Parts: sequence; C-alpha cells; structure tokens
Amino acid sequence: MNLFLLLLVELQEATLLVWRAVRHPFRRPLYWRETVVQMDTIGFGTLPIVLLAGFFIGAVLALQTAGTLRSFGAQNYTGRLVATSLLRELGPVLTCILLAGRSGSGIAAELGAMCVSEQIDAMRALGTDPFRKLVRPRLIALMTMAPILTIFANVIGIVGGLVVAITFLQIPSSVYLASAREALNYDDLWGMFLKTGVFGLIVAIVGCRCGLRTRGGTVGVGQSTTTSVVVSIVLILVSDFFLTRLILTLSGTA
Amino acid sequence: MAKKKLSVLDLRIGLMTLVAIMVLVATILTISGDLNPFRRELIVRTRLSNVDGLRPGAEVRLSGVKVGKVQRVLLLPVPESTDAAQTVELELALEPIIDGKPAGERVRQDSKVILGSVGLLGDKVVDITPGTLRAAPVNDGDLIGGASETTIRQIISGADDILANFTTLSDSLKQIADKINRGEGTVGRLVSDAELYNNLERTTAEAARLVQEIRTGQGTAAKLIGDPRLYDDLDAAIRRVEKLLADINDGRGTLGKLATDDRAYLEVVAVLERLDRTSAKLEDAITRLERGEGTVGRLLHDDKLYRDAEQTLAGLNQLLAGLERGEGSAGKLLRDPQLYDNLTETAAQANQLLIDFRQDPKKYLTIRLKLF
Amino acid sequence: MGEYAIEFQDVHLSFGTQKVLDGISFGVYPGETKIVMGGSGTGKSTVLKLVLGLLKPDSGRIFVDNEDITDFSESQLTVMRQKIGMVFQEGALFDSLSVYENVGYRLFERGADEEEIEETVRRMLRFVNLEDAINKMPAELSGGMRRRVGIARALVGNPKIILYDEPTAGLDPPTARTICELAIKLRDLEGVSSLFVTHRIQDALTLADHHATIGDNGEVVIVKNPRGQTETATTFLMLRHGKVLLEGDADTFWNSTDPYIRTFLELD
Repeated sequence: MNLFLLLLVELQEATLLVWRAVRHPFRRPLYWRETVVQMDTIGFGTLPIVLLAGFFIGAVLALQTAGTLRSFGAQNYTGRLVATSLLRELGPVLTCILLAGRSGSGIAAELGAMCVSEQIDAMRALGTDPFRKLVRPRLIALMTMAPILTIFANVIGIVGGLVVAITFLQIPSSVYLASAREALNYDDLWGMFLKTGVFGLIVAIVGCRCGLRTRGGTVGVGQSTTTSVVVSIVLILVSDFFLTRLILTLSGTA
Repeated sequence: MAKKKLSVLDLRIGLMTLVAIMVLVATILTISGDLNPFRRELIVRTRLSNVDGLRPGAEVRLSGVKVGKVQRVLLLPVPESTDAAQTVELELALEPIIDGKPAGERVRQDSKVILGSVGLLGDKVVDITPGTLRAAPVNDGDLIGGASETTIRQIISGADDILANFTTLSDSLKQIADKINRGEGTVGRLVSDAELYNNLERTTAEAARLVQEIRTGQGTAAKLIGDPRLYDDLDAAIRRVEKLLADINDGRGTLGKLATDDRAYLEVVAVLERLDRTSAKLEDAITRLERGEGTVGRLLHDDKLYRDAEQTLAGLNQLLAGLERGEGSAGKLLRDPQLYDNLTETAAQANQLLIDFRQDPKKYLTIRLKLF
Repeated sequence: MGEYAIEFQDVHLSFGTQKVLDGISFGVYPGETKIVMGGSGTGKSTVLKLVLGLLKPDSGRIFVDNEDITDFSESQLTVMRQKIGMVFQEGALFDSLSVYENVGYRLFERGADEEEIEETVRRMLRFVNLEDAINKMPAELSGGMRRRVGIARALVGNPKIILYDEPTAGLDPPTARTICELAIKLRDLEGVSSLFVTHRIQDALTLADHHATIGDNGEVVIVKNPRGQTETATTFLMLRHGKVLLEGDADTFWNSTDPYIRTFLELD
C-alpha cells in the first residue's frame, strides 16, 4: 500500500474511532467517573506547566517586541501586541502542544500498554466497549480542558508581559493593561475556541489511535508514544495555519 | 479510585472551569466596552461630509478626554446636489456621567464634532468641543454640528516648500555666522580682529602725546618744529585728516555714512570716552614727564624719541594713506560705500523675507515627512 | 446445527499474507470440554478470539449458542459475550484496578449494587481459593494467582461457555495442576462448555483422567478416573498448519497413528 492509501486508511480509522466513541451518547453506562478522572488528570495535571510556560512566553514576547516597537515610538502598544499574539496564536498552539506532549503521550502509552497485555481484548470479552469507556472520556476531557487551559495560559501570559513591562521596559502598568484591553475582540475569542477545540480533538484522536493499535510489546508502546506526540504536534501546526486563515477570513481582517 | 476521591477531583476541575468561565465573561464584558452593561448611554448624532475611515468602536473624546465610542456609522441617502456638505451620519455613544456631570450638560448644542487621528498609525478618533454655556444642554439623540479638521495628511501635502526654503535660509545664515566667527569678510574681521582696534588705540595715544609735546615745545617737539621735513610730513598728514574729516562731514565714504547714522555716533561717543580715559592716563604721563620722571623724561634728552616719532609719523602717514586708498579693513570701511550698501541691502532683504514669511508661511515652509 | 454450543464451519482467516486458519470446522457440544492442541503460533488463540467475535473470519461461519455470529455488529456481540467467559494468557487483569474491582468488573459495568457485587466476588474468589487477595493489586500477585483471578473474573455472570487461552503456560506443575483442577470442577460441577487451548500434553492428561465430585463432607474432590475409563465429556482438537489434524475423543487421541501427534505424545 502506498503512502496515500495508508493515509486514507488512517483517516478512516480515526473517523471510526471518533464515531464509535461518540455514538449513542445517552446509552448507559455513561462513564462519568472516568470522564471526571480524565479531566482532572489532563486539566489540572497540565495546569502547572501551562502556567509556567505561559508566564515566560508572555514575558519573552514583551521583551522582544518592545525593542522593535520603541523604534517606532510605539512601545505603549506592547500590551496590545502581547495580548493579541497570545490570544490568537501562542495561547492555543503552545497550550495544545504541551497537552500533546504531556497528555497525548500519556494516553498513547496507557492504551498501548493495555493493548499489548490483552486488557483491551479482555475488556471487550467482558462486554465493555473500550471506545466508550476509554476513548470517549479522554476525548471529552481534552476538548473541554484545552480551551480552559488556554484561557489560563493567556491570562498568565499577559501577566508575564506586564511584569516585564513594569520591571525592564519602564512601561507603566496602566498603559500596558489599557493597551492589552484594547486588543480584546470577539473574533479572537471565538477563534481561540475553535482552535483549541480542534487541537484538543487532534491530540485525543492521535493519542487514542496510536495507543489502540500498538503491537509488539514494550517496544511497540514506546513507538506509539513517540508517534503520537510527533503526529499530534505536526497536525496541530498544520491545522493552525488553515484555521487561522479561516478565522481571519470570517472575521474580515484577512 | 474509590468514590470519595471523586469529590476532590470534581472540586478541582470545577474550580478551574469556574475560573476560566469568569475570565471569559470578564473578557466579553471588557470587549463590549464597559463592565456595566446596564448603563444608559447618551447618544449624540452628527453629520459630516467625510469620515476618512472612521469605524464603529473608535474613541470619542471631549476636549481630548475619552468619553465614549462611535456606535454607528451610517451613510445618508444620496444628496440632491454634489455640493451637499453632509453625507455620513455618526452615532456617538457617550458615558452617561462624565466626571460628575451628566453627559448632556458637558456637551452643548453648539459643540462641534471634529475628526482627528492619533498616533503614527493613524487611528481615527472623534473629538467634541465643549461648546459654551450659552447653548442648551444636549439630549439623547440630538444632532450637533461637525467640522472637518485638517489631518496630518493635509498638512503634509500642503506644506512641502516651506521646509525646503527654511533649510536654505538657515543655511545661508549659518554660513554668514560661520564667516563672522572665523574672522572672514569685512564684518568678521571687524568683529574678531582686535588688532585694528589696538592699532587705532596706539595711534591715538601717540598722536595725543605728540600734540602735547608740540604744545609744550620741548625736546623732540622742538626738533619737530625745527625740522621742516617733519613739519611737512605732519602738514600732509593733517591735511589728509582734514580731508578725511571733510569727507566724513559730507557723508562720503562708509565712515561718513556711519557718522550720519545715529548708531555710529553712539559708538564714536563710546570710543571717545575711551579716548578720554586714555588722555587722562596721558596727562598723568605728561605730569611725570614735566617732573622729568620716567622714561619720557629721559626721552626729552634723548634723540631716540625723535627718531621714534619720525618712524611713528611715517607709519601714521602710511596708515592714513592706506585708509584713504581704501586698504585694510578700516580703509575699506572708510572708503568703500559699496560695502555699506551691501550691508544695508542685506538687512533690508532679510527684513522683507521675514515679513513675507510671516504673511504666508506656507510659501516658505515645507515639511517633508518621509516615513521609512 | 442446533445441538452445538460452539460450531465452526469452514473458517478461513489470514493475517496479511499469512494464512492462519485454512478451513477449520468443528463443534463443541454443551457441557463438552474440547482441548485444542497444536504447536505454538498455530492459530489456537485465534480460534478463541473468533468465538468471542474479537476477530472476524475471512470466510466461513461461526455459531455460538445457535446464533450465527459471523456478521454480528459490535453491539450484538456485546450482548452475546455475556454468555461467554474468557481466561486470557497472563490473566490480562486490569492493572489499575484491584482484584475486587477486576473480578466484579462485569457487575460494576452493569451498575449492580455494592452488596451483590461483593458477595459474588467473594464467591468467585473462594472458588479459586483466593479470597484473601480480594483487595490486592494485580502487580502484587504471582503469575498463577493472576490466572486464577482471571478465571474468577471470567466466571462472574455465570457464563455457559468458557474459553481458556493457554492458562497453564509458564506455570510450575503444581500451580498448573491447580488450574486444571479448576477447569475440571467447572466442567463436571457446573456443566459449562469450554475450549481449552494448550500446547502441554500434561494438561490433556490431567483433564482426561480426572473428574470432580462432591465428597462425603460436601467439599469438592478431584478423583482420578478408574483405569481404562476416560472422560467422555473431554474431546480433542489438533491443529497443524491451519488445518484440523484430528478431532475426537481421548482414546482416538492416545491411539492416533499420525506421526506428528505421536511426537507430541512422546514429548511427554
């Protein structure tokens, strides 16, 4: 099978995966507990690193852009630049890449290990649908936690920029915050939700897919984990481009 | 994963989600401009002929202070004739209370709306003039007048030449100032060259002494009297001086012109005062001379002075001859009316230029702002 | 066709280019234990997976409890699987759950209440003699104990068909014997139909030469069959190169003249 067919098969499998996970949304059992556990693991567990990364990204952004802006006499726009960059691009993309690295690989490893030790088969033998019990909670968790984590990342990023602005750039906090506030608009908001939703979906699908088709023992698990991270990140970046284009077109600023 | 752990997890996620939602809500409210969506805003309308790219959401200011936003930009129906002044209507949403007073009282019926732009990037804002107390307060929905203000762009396009001319003028002035500083040119020399003055001073001093000696008929002076050659020289010198004075009197030559000019008189007075002081010193010296003290006393018995005087007179003669011929700085000054004419002319022109400039700056100033 | 608990009709299955099952046909009567033998990698586990519907055949038909499951959808299979219990190689316990949660898995999923679950779990663990391990984690158990817990888990819900996937592989003889005795108990006292996949002839011997009865005190006793009498409820299925080499009762097996089988028997 050549590459193209392979991709097609993968696409089909991924679609099937999602379909099996989400169909009959109201049929028992609903697996609430699993979903909550996943949301906690993914959301709360990734929160510290998201906050840390967000803070420093905001700080670096402010540091880098202030210099350039100053040559236009526009350093008071720093807040606006930091806020816009975070809201539109860095917040969603970086948060979801962190999620891919942390949660996506975790999912792939966990499901992969279960797969090679026949636990998935056992689950099916015992009458449980692994898609509904394993995949769906993770899917829901990722798609809900990604926007929430991104919001945290954006806020802390703006704060990071603020700290730098006050300490190193001699920009008063009121100026920074006022110009950051100017940057907020509805288009960026719904764009952020769209992006994080799609990225969360990608991380979940890739992680589960890689996990569930692991073959070959511990080596296979390692490979699945690596593949899941790499593919997630690549897909996130590629789709980011197209989503950005879409958002800009729809919001009329393309 | 016992059931009781679930509540802790629940709590943490719930908290996170709650915080995120609150941030979101705050953001949305911030975007929509105010944290209190229930305030009634005062709507003021205005009509303009051109809004130059103004968009809804742009800032509205009162005397430069932000008081609201542009709510709507509406195109009015196509006018009957082409010279209709108003084709666009703006709806401005103002805060209901501005600095303690209701917005309606801050903006009056005779307030005017001006469009402006802010900053290098050309963000558009609407500025409202405060109007006067004579006019009535504004109510919701009222229409106030609009005026268009020149934007930076217009200034830029209309003021091209001024800067160029300004540059040229300042260059010329600069050159002149440089020359003066370096001691070049007539005025320069005059200003920077102390030597001339020193010469004049010395000459005057010597002359005074000489005269005194002649009067007292002593020593060298006697010789002077006895020596016809010296007398002839002196005679010639005196004659020249006479002629000079005659010139001056008639107003010929630069010096003459200067003499008829008040300013020059004042300066001469100053010089004379100096001379006065100098002759005072001289008297002192002569006294000593009479008492036979000092060098001069000796000089009276000394040939040297005679010889010196001879030389000095010769020098003086030369100087005066030179002056008469119009050599050297002072000579040129004395003899060359052209220079004075030039100076006067230049002064007059400068004056004229300044008047012109004041009348119509646009002709002279060009501001060429080249942006990268 | 109506009498079999499990029936395969001319089943073919390939993984990629490798043909694993090449026209397999057999039947398992209710209450019968069929011992499936063959060298490693001959598709024995595959047969079990086909019964469960975890795999689908390329061609042929499969019947479980009089139903043709060959084309069943996942949801139909889920229902059908309630009747089957499978014991996996290595036990395949869920390592993030305790023994209690593992064994009671089916009941947890169904949403039964705590008391019922606990009572059932304890009963099953008593059956496999592991009641003390009820709160341990799978990582704390030995291989044999894990298999036994696996059996206990498979038994919850009282399935009529039990599938054993090399349950004695890698175990020392005494532990292996314990496992076989459990299978005997299930066969004789509970009347389950089963497919017992193994490549060890000792298991075959144990299963064929013993039966379980209730002793005088009421407890279960494993008794060796009298000489010459073998269990009629135990049959053999020998697979080689994806084909059925032999299907028959114990005597047929012991007295087979096929050289491959003789090698198998003599390896003992």
